[in-house]
Amino acid sequence: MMAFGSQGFRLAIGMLTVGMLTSSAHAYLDPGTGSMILQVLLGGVAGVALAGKLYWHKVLSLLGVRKHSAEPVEARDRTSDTADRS
Amino acid sequence: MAIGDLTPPASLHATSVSREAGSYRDRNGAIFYRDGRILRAISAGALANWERLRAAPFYRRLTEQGRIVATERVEGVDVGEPNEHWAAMLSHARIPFISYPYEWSFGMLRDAALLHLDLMEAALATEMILKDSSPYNIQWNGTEPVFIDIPSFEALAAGEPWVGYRQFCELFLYPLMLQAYKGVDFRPLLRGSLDGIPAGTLRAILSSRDLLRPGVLLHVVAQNALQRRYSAAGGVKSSLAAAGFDKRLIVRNVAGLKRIIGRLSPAGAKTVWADYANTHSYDTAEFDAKEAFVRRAAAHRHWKLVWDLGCNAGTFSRIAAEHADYVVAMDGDRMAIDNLYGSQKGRPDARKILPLVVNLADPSPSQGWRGLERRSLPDRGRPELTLCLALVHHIVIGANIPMRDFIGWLAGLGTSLVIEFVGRDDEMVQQLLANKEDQYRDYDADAFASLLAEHFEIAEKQPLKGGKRTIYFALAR
Repeated sequence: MMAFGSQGFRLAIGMLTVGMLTSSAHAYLDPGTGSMILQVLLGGVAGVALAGKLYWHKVLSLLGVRKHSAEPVEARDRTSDTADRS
Repeated sequence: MAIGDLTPPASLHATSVSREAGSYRDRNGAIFYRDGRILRAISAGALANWERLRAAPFYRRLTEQGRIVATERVEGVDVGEPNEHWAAMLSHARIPFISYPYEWSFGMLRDAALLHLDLMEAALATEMILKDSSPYNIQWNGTEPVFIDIPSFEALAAGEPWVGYRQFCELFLYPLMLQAYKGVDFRPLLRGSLDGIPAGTLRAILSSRDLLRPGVLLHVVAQNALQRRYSAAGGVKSSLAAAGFDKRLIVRNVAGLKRIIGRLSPAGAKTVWADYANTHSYDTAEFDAKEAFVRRAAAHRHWKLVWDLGCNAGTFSRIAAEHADYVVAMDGDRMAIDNLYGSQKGRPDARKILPLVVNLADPSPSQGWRGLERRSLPDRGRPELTLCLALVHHIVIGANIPMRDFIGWLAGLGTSLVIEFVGRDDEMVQQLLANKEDQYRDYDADAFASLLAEHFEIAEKQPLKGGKRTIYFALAR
């Protein structure tokens, strides 16, 4: 269970490391970045489609800067996981 | 629920206006009290949302069902603030007694959560949404929840996620999970933190076995992980919008939450007083005599507000409700209150009795910003009649509160009383004293009678249980 959980997150985090653009918060409440991303995973079929699209954007942007698609994402995740635990 | 006459008199003075100190977070509106009316000043943006809401069929339906507070727009009311700041004024039906989630039973918080999700579904179907998810926006008419924060309804912008999702988790879902999955009372946590329980806090309490329980993996564990991972990231909202986030995702999430919450039930349900109605120390004839006394006292006149302190199964709250506008039934035992809440459903007095979990030795304080955001119990409405049945021994011997202080506190409320003194020879007092040093020299029938006479006018008294107890009807001086 735990193994599935942490793999699931790594996958989700990897998929959702999207090109961060500009911020446009117009609510008095902070929705929480992580909580907003989670809403994609909670969105059922539509969420899966959206996650795929976000991932595709990510792949395109990585190709745009002429780097390998998967490696940087994973590397970034590992670093931040370590940072979280310390 | 009738709003009453909404036409203001021709000339109004601003002197009796007060602004609700707890209504400051959202700058699009503010609550004012004026001459017993509940007024809400709203900004131009909030007015546009109100117009849209008013035209929505779901709004009319849910208002008629009493699930959204009855609201009308009023003109020409001065609230003593520069008018240019506000675009319009709304008037709301009055809630008989304000209460807070840290005073609700499990069933109450669950039903409030389900009402919130129902409103979300209804709003989403008409391209609107609730912009926040605070249980403080839900109040009660007896045991019927009613949503009071009209400006929370706003138009759903294209690509916008559910901004109030995290707040929904922290103030509804996690407290319910804590009670259902761990048997831990959510009330102390909600009282200690008005913003609720963060994902990280609940995550730390859950064991690996709990990861299998409905909703935990995504709503708690994943949310906690993602919040930690992305705490400093910006621009996600616009990225999501650009990628085509739409309301179907929110609808799906809301439906999932409804399924999870609808199935939750409180763990650790066996509490000391949960079964009092079947285990109290009276035989039937004596209980009938006590009931008849309370009935006579309650019928003395009509009361606007009655408090039943230590209400337990609510037997006497119901008697009082026959002669009162509203009864707040309080008990420190959460399951006793949850049982009362459940048993009120469908009864004719369901809208008249509000059950609350309150420990009288440590009642809800004034707290929040400036200590004014959430008010103490007496600040929210003082009773005209208070029932204290089989309670005094718990206060004096159980909670070590001097009898003089307790009677003085009751007198300070300005209330009349139906109060039962439980004598030292009663087995319930014997039980309380069994493991304690008897330092309660003030606890004695004569001392009680003279204290009561000092502060109240004793209208009637009667011995019960063969003289082991005495019940008094005492009028406020």
